Amino acid sequence: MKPLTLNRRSLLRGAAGTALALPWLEAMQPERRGLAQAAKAPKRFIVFMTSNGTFPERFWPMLPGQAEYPVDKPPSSAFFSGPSALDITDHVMGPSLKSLERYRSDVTFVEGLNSSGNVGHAHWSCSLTGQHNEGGGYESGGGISLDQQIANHLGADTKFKSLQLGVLNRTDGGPNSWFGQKMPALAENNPKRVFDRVFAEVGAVDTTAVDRLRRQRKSVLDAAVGQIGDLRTQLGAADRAKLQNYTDSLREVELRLTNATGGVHCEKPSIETGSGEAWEFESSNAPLLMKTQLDLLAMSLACDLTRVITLSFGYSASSMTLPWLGINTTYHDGLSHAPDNDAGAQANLAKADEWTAQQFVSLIERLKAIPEGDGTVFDNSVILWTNEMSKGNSHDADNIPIVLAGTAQGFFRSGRYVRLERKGEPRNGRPPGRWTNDLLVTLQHSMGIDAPSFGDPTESTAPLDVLKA
Amino acid sequence: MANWRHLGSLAALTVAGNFGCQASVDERSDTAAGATTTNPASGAGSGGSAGVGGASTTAVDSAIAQAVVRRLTRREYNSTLHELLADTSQPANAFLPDDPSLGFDNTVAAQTVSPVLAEQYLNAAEQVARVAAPALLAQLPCAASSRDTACVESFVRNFGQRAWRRPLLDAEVTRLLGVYQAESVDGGFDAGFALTLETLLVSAPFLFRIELGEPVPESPGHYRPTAFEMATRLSYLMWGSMPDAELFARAADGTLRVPAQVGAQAERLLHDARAHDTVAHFHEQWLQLSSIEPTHVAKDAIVYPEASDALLTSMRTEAELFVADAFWNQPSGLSALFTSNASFGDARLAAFYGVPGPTGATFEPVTLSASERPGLLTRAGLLSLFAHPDGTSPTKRGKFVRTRLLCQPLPPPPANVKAMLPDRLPGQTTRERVAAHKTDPTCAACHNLLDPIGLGFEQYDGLGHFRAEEAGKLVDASGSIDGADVPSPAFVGAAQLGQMLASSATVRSCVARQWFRFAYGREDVAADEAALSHLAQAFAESGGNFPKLLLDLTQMPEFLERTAPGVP
Repeated sequence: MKPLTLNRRSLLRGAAGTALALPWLEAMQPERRGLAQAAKAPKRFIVFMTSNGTFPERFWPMLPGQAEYPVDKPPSSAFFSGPSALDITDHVMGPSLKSLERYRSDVTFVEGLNSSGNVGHAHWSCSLTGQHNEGGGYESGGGISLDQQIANHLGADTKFKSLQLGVLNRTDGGPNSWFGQKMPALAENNPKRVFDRVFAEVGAVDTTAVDRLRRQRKSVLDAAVGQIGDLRTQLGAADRAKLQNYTDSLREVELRLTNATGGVHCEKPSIETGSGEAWEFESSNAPLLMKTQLDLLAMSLACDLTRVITLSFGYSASSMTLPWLGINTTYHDGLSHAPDNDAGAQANLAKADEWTAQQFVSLIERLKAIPEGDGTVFDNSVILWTNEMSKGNSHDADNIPIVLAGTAQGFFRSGRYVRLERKGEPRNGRPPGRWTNDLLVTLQHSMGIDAPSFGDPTESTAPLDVLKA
Repeated sequence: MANWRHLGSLAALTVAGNFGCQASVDERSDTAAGATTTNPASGAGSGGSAGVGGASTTAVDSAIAQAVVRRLTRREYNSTLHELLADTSQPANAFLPDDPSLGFDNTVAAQTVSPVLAEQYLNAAEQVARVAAPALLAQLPCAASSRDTACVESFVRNFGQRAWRRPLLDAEVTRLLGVYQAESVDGGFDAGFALTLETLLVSAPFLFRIELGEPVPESPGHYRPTAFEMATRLSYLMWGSMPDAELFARAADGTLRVPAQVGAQAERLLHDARAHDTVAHFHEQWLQLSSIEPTHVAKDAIVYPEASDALLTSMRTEAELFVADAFWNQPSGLSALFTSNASFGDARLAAFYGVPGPTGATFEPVTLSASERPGLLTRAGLLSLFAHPDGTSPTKRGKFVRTRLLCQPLPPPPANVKAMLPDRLPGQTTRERVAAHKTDPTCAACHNLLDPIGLGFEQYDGLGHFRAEEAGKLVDASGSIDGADVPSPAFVGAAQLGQMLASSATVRSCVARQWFRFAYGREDVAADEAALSHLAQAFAESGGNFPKLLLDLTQMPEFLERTAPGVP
């Protein structure tokens, strides 16, 4: 098989963290609808979802002078952030997250949030919806997810309102993104399909052909929508709703037919592959799948094809293995279900944390490599890295891992280790503390949506003002 | 156990006595028709939640009041294109996956079309039309000199009737011709033709099974699918694809308005390889056979050095062949499924089981140990799937039996659940380790439904090998299964469990329920209990004959009837 590379002639190539010249992104801005030359750059919202929990003592930052938690020491099943609030900038990266040191001023850890509504695997499909899991397959999101809420706000002018990318993200247990209740937004795991879909029109030489294809598609879509309209009066309410859903989606496709792509200034990446094997759903493919999806993610931001992306690595209760790390047992059964005294399994979980942290860093670097205005796309973004559980083997839902990168144009003050105070009474068998929904509403505010709550309002009390600049 | 389903009452069984007969059909549909007028909200496709109890049997949830628009699944889309255009590209393999809600890929309540899927439909139709158009153009009956709108119209009416599985209305033909005309102005005849073909494939009547129904003249106030809609119901139930020429002919001449003729056609379809594919598709979902593959099953190479992808593939093939044989070839298929030691193996699997016979990669009939390997539950495929990488999992094995074979859903985990197993101690057996589930009340609520069943499987290790000892101790394979309608819940070993399940009314009812869900594409609701009892009773009377059960599904009011068109 030929080596697989994502070729970009002048973009993002080179050492990690090096901002490469991308004059075209600047040049194209004035051409974009709704982007007057003087206007601020658009905001971007990125979610990086990982799964099956962490080895908490080696994941969270340490206080200055604190000794590293030994990898062969069993994690404490009682691990629990202290009752006292903390807001420091001289923290030391946890052993699993040392790779974040380089971007310490860009990253904020938020400790002490309980998952809203759900525990364990049930939180996976609700991490971004903040609703209660209703059980069963895709039934379980309970409502619109934060990324889609934000996409509805930020995505009007882009070719794609949002993108859902996956790396070995199976649909078991539901997706992370939801267009609405019972409307799953499934992730695409195959980079080739992402490429074909997202970059189809980018860099097209024959604009006449592009225009013609758009015209043809519009004609087809109009006819399909019209046909449903003719049927409507003869159908019952439930049937009408089903077909209305299809009509809505056809219209959504049609609306975006003519939305600008990056235009002539945006370069098209290319995926070279001798066969499709590298994109297959195989655990051993994960590193290349991740790298390529991150490349495509960055490129779609650079070309302003979308402003909201959710990337899901694995899935809750995943049966993937991590052979590239020498881990040949499964993420969930083998690592996350091992008892505390299974030092090998816990060390491997820490190793998995290290790897996911490196991918998060790589994501940061890619955004920092795209110049925009006086800075980079990263300055206009916030990235949420989270997980459906805290401690892997106990499937703990208290103290959900939250790492934020970027300030969303100065909305957040970054470079901190924030531990939220846990006070009040335990609720529903959960320790006292704030809910993850309070973070979701804060993120919503950072993207310019001024709503008082997100998700289940009974578990969305107030934004986390402490995180703001 | 509040959420558990139960068999319908004896009263419901009396309705079932006259199986397949028009009188019982009418009796049932009276209830259904009344239901739709008393509760307009009942048809909102809300049947998806997992824990519908059997307690409130109210008519408002009537079976026939459900939504009937069904979207083609990925499998159905590919098969339909194959039948329609001899297209073998299987474009739906690249579509977003169907929601596996309820364990099946065809559940109506979960069928939505996201903008991404709509895009995928559009792109697939573009590709398929581009490839298929030249051959279709060559077959057009009109001369090259008369390639005009009239020529396209005749194509649209003829081909459209196959693509949309019903005759097209004039307004629909006019709209499609509009697409042709607009495109042919610049692009010429061929381009206009191809775009019209593309439009047919993106339109709802191709992608969805939309039914409008018609009144039953001899029975005022009652409705049924039209004959074309019935042809479609039959072909997708039996084949997962569009009707063939014979079905279209029986639709056109109205034959399919007669229930007995529906049954006759169902029987014809059953004797076709496509029906075997459909049944295999049912089994790979119900019994999770499709999960017996490397990305779902990983084994620790130190604990199970023998494990390999090839061995796992052989295990899956055995399970598929064994289940198919029980379904198609054994008159008492249900009993064979849980008790037969006749199986199939290649050389690899024969060596695994330690039986003589096969020497190559071809699967041949083999006879396994009657005491160690009777029935599907004792076979390596499921035993490997429902295990940990380095050991067994009584919880997973018990869950399979509880949810898939007894159809008893589990309550959600408690809010403060901790999923962690206690520390592993040297010399400890799996039974000793999972005992902690019993002592912790937050675990016990759920695990007491699972572990006592799964512990009965302890004679089989995580790869499915029979074992007498674990951790230097003799294996204790005593188990217990409550809620299964068996004479006594206690059993020793999976072989005995199989015997008990083979004659359990709960299992028969569950099999009927699983087929009901798969066939009708929806969650059963309280009002379906009578129909399900009826189906299970007939299944019992047939001695657990699977093909008969499948045919019976086409003689139910749920299949033969529908609600009034347009009723909200």
